Amino acid sequence: MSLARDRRRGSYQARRLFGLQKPLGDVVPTIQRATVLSFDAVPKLVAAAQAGMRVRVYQYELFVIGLDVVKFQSWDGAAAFTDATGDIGIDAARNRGLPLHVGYSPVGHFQSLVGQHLVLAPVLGTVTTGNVWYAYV
Amino acid sequence: MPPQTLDPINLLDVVPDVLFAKLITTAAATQQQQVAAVAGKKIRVLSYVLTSQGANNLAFRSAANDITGLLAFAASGEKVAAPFNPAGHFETVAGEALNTISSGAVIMGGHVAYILV
Repeated sequence: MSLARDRRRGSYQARRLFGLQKPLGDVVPTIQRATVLSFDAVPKLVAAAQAGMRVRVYQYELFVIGLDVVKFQSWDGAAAFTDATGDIGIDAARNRGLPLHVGYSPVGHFQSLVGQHLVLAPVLGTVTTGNVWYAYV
Repeated sequence: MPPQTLDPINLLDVVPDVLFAKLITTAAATQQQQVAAVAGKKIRVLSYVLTSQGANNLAFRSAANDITGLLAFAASGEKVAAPFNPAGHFETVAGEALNTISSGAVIMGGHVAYILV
């Protein structure tokens, strides 16, 4: 079967499965990676806002020295923070080397509000590092 | 034969109207609402991450009925990360909220991706 025919077949099956009317697009959001480092209980910027866009996270991993609780938040650049996740507990002693790795999801895991920054907000302030893969959608 | 490159397929087009919510349980061994009910719609969970700050058992519920078994968390830092499944992991009854029920008074947190069907 040709590649083009295979692709049309996959497209048809996916559209039938989800009841989608429009054809599959070819545009995949450009995914970028940000490295995060927190060392106190002050929110740290993950991705800066873009007008009219959300910051959507597709994958992330967090490493901690000890125990920490963090959450991702949408930030308006002033005083308003809105939780994008609940409090995520990470403990180096439980899973040494890779305390929290959340794999890639093609639809994303969570996102900021439109036109807002995405920040990582440590609750305890233990030294935490990691990577966040995101795109503007 | 020249090498062929697969065209990327954008699953954002395949999976329509994905929604996101934070998962939070407060320190109370009670049923807690995670996603509010939508009239006539099922809440189908495509992926989720949940971490615990202590020993706890948790189940997802459709209104007051369990739709998963108990997820067991042994201690602080324990986690479960259910990867993306386009067909969904579980779903509520139409018109019912997605809730959780905890066995212990433990704070838990995470996030969920879902669609309304």
